Amino acid sequence: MREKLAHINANPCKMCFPLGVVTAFYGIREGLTLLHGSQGCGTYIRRHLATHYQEPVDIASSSLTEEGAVFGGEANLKKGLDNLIRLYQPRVIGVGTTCLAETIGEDVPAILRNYASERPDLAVKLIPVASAGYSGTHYEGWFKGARAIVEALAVKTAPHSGINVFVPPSSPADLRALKKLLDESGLDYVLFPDISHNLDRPYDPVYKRLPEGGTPLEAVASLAGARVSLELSRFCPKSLSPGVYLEETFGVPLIRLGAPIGLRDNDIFLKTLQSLGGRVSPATLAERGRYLDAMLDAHKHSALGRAGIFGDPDLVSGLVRLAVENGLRPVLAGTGSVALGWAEAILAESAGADWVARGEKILARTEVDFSDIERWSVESRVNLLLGSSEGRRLAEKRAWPLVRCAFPVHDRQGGSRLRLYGFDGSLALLDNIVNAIRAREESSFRARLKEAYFQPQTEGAALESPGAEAATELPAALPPPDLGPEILRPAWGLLSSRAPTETHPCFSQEAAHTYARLHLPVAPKCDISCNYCRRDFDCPNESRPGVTSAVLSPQAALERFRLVRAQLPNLKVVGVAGPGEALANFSELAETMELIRREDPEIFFCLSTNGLNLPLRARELRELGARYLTITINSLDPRVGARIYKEINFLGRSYQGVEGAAMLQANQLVGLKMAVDLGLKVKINTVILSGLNEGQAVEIHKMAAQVGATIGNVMQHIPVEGSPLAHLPQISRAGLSRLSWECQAHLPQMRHCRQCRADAVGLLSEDLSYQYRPADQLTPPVEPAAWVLSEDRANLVRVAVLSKSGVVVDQHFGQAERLLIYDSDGQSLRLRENRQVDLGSGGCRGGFCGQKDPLADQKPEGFIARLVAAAADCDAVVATRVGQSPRDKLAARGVRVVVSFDTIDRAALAAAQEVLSQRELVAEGRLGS
Amino acid sequence: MPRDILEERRKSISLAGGSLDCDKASLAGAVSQRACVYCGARVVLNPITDAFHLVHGPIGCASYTWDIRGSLSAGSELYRQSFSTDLRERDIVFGGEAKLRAGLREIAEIYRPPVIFIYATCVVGVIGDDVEAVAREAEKAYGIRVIVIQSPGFAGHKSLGYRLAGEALMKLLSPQADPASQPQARQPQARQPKVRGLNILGDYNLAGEMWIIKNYYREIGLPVIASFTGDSTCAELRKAPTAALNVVQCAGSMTYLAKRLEEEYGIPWIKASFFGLEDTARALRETVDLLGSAEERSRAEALIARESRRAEAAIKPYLPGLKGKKAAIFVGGGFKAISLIRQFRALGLETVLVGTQTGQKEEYEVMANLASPGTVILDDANPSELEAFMREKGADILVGGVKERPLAYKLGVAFCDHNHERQAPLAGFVGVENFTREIDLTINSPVWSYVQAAGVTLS
Repeated sequence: MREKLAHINANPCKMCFPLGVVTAFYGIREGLTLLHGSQGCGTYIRRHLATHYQEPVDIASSSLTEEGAVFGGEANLKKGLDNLIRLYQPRVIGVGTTCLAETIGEDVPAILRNYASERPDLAVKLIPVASAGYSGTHYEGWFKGARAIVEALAVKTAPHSGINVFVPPSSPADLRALKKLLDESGLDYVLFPDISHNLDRPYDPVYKRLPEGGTPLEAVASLAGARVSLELSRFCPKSLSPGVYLEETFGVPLIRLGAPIGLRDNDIFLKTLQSLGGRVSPATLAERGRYLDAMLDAHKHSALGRAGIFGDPDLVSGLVRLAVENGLRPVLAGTGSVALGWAEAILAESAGADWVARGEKILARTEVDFSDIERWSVESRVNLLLGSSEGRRLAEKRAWPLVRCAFPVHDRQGGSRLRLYGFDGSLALLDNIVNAIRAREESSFRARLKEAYFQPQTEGAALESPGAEAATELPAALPPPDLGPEILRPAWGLLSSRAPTETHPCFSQEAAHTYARLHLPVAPKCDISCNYCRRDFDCPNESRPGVTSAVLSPQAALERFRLVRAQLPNLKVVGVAGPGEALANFSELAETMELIRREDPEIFFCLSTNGLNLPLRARELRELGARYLTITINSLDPRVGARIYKEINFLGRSYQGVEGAAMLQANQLVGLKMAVDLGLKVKINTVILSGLNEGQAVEIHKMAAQVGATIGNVMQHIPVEGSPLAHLPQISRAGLSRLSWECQAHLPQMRHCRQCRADAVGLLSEDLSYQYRPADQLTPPVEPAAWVLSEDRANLVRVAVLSKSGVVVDQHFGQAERLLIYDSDGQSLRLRENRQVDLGSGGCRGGFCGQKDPLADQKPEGFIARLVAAAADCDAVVATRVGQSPRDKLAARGVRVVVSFDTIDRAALAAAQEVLSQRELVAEGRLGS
Repeated sequence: MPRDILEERRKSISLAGGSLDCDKASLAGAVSQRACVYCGARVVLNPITDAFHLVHGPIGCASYTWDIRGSLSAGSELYRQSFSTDLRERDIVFGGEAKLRAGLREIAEIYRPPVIFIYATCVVGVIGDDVEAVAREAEKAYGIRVIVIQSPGFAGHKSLGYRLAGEALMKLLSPQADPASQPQARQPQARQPKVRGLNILGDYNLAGEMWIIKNYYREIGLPVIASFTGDSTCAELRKAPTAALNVVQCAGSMTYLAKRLEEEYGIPWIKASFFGLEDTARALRETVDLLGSAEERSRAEALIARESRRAEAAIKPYLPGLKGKKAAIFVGGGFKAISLIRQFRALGLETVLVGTQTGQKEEYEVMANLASPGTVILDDANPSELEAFMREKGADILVGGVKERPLAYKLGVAFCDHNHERQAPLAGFVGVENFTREIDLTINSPVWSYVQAAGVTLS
């Protein structure tokens, strides 16, 4: 975590003021908003709301341009209103300003008055709302929007027995729950702003562009005559409060209380309704009982929670109160708003808690961003976050669970159905919170306790015997390999120095990013024949299959080494991974190693082998400086091996089938044991062949671990074209990962394998092989394929294609700025260049020509001549149209014109074929040139 | 034309293959789906993972663009943060320069990023902040490249933002302007030696797509020097001038940069699409044609053959369930729309509606040529138009952005996320498999059988 940026908001915990205004307007019937300003404000807010509510959100914009910004946007605004009314037929339009409109000083109320007076039969109520993005957060914007509507529409002062209920930003589902409580009370009420339907609409076979829910206008009008207003917000600034406005203007008494979150605030809410003559239903009382019951059931888990709570002032306050009554510690409360008096109120909430009395600190901070929340969460040892999905990056980074309970939720379903209000909503929230705590406890307590208290037996005793067992546990079916007495007597414990795995990129994930390696392709021959391999390419055990690297001589390999080391000072490991089998090319291998060792004695070598000759060569390899070894073991059952290996060539004899496979695996295991005893670090690769050896992988790695291998790697079989197993289905990534975890139980697994090329260079995470490729020292191992075009121009056709899109022929000849130049023999195509046409000084050259249509401009002198000249070396030009004058000029140069609308490939080939058939006719004398 | 299409919008809608108006300011009150100049600039530059992206302006622009695009990084996560000077009322009155200056000092001291991009939004110019001067001053003081993007939303639409991003990238590449560069590096760039390698322009590594494309080139043996801008770093981008070829994938956002790189560094460029089997194969072939050897061409052919075969086998089971369905397309740029029409055709779907936010005239002509007669083509459409034409044409699926998704669902129309939120790669050969699967899983979901078709009421 870095230091705090004091002057920069780093990861905002707030949205802009107009977002709140717009949302409030979704709470009246047949209402819409138009934001007066730049296009983007509306679009961004729409995206932000639509992703949370999963509803279409239509917000209009006056789409101010540069001109509007300078001379005023009245015309744009009026036109915007016309269009919006035409498209949606709303009854109310909120006209919100934006940063731009406020700053350039647009007098929106005056413009709206003009607009209305110019249209005497206008049936739409226009409500201006001054809402610069910088006037506050979305939270204040919500109240400002609500108040603006009330100020404009609450005009019926006739007293009535109904009550007003003003709500803070709330989820549609919570507002539905609130309305249910109010319905049950039997009181006559108006809830405002009511987004419960418009931002969570049921599927309707008839889509209505203008949603039909929201507080009816007549109801809004009657707010002025209510007997009392309830405002479920403790922190709405007075100047923005609709309740304060009605009290001050029409004398409607105001009661402010918190939204019904948690036991106490629900009780307060219901008691308030009762005091106004409302009823509380038995069902609600039962719900209260259930919530209380759940509090008791959960309290010991609740007490383990240390919550970081962030969001709107009212919401955070409600959540803090719920946390406190459940014994959960709200150790950090933050809001992005300025919220005067809020922090003090939050601190007062928990003042009586025993844990506060014991000296635990609570932080309540306003105007926070997520860098603050992170810093203070760490400081307060938070283990749980409550708030919007904006906390998800922090939750992910710190591995804290995040209970999503506030707008916006962008990474989960059901933002419209967040539940907090009422006893049932609080219960749903409590369940979520407690489950987040329990889930962590349940999934971690075993490992945590084991880590804390379990002590393994001493290492020596544990490791000794399985190793010995491994040697005797070889499958009984194995014929003993005839290796000679000397080979079977390895020099046990000959060398004690072990290569540090930390510096080998394959053996350590950290090293993969820091230590470079160089693979030298010096070993072309191979002594076994795998059914998933094709000899034309590199060995698929180690290299990305189908990749071919040029073979280097030992001297060339030394040169490559020098070249690379000059550039990569972190080069520690030099590897030989093919393209064939290292040990089948032993003299080249040994020479390469010696040359490099002479150059730099610090270098270690890493070899890849199938293990067949390992028992013969292990000691020599160690002496030559090998410290790492990879053995590819694909089977421990010769019957399976027989299906993987076609042929084994060992000491001049060829073995097939079960016999060959048994020979190979016996040598692999003996070789592995010898290498380990010589102090080499050994990696075991297993290529997973679906349907053949998945069942073997775990056994292989278990055995390898017992013998002393350091790391294992199970790899996806990548089909090699032309090999006998080319059509074998690949194991899925998920299947591979599962298998890898199973093997991990026995042998640590390399999970960062990149299946390198035989000539890989650099960090595992960054293959540089092509940059270190002295072309003249390389001998291409494959024959060029048949596609290669003859360089003989006589048999080639050069075609110029006009395409702006780069996909299909789509330009007139006269539109050309560029020509795509292809060569073709009539069968295949070769792109030669994307040729820029020199259009001369008057044309579009020398800079970006914007969106201008060249045809609409004055053409510079000689424009066509220049185009024709650009195509003069071609045999044909393909365009959607060619005018008569260029057509004649091209013909004079012997360039054929082909008109086409086809894809570039097809059109260019067709043109080439036309030219070639004409050439034939000429050659046959049937046509004059 | 349906009754409720605004008169002034009719010029931007083509029903019979005629030409249409495009690249104009959005019509006020029409509820355009387009975003603004800042958006265009930010989407292009944001994937540079180790850059410090600072919005100079009030908070909204930073809130709404915090980590909303799925560009993946193999390294730094700095680009996933959202930084803003969070201008307030008092800053509007007294100017935001002081705050910006103080912020830059902190960034230099605490983060020391290789570059700071400052996006100056709507009000910055209006309140008279001289952002450029503050940037130069900071550059001098801290030795960090500071690049200003003057991107007030009202200066144009998203396309202008693309161009401004291109200009910012050119500034980033220019060693003359790099305070950290050695004097000897400040030679004319066109004369810098070229290496055999390419830059990829216009892929943003959504769902790892840049990685997929790079893997293809790696297998073929063509080095990728720099990627604009998916999973890129400043150091990598600064190597771009040495490349021998630019391969431009998202033409809408990157053609400008390709032209500038050609003019100033002499790098030729080609357009290429990695959407669809045909296009991907062609893109790889053409790159090898221009840069590669015979050996590499044969590797490319082997790769194309292997991957095409695999993809074709993977999509085959889905084809019967897709045949004859009707597709509607509404995406950001014209090039993607063109690729989508072709991809749908390859899968047996017919495109009945196609539109874009920022398509160019030539691109619309291509769409008209590609699509079957009677296809509705729209520029800068709004929800009312999409609704009217999807109903009229009986679209079965809409491909579009995040804002269009709820509309499609409300109309009972399937939806394909071909947008910045996608989590399955849609580029390359593997992208064809994912695209087909995505189309299948939405269009053939059982849920549609429980709702009435759009426009049909229960009797």
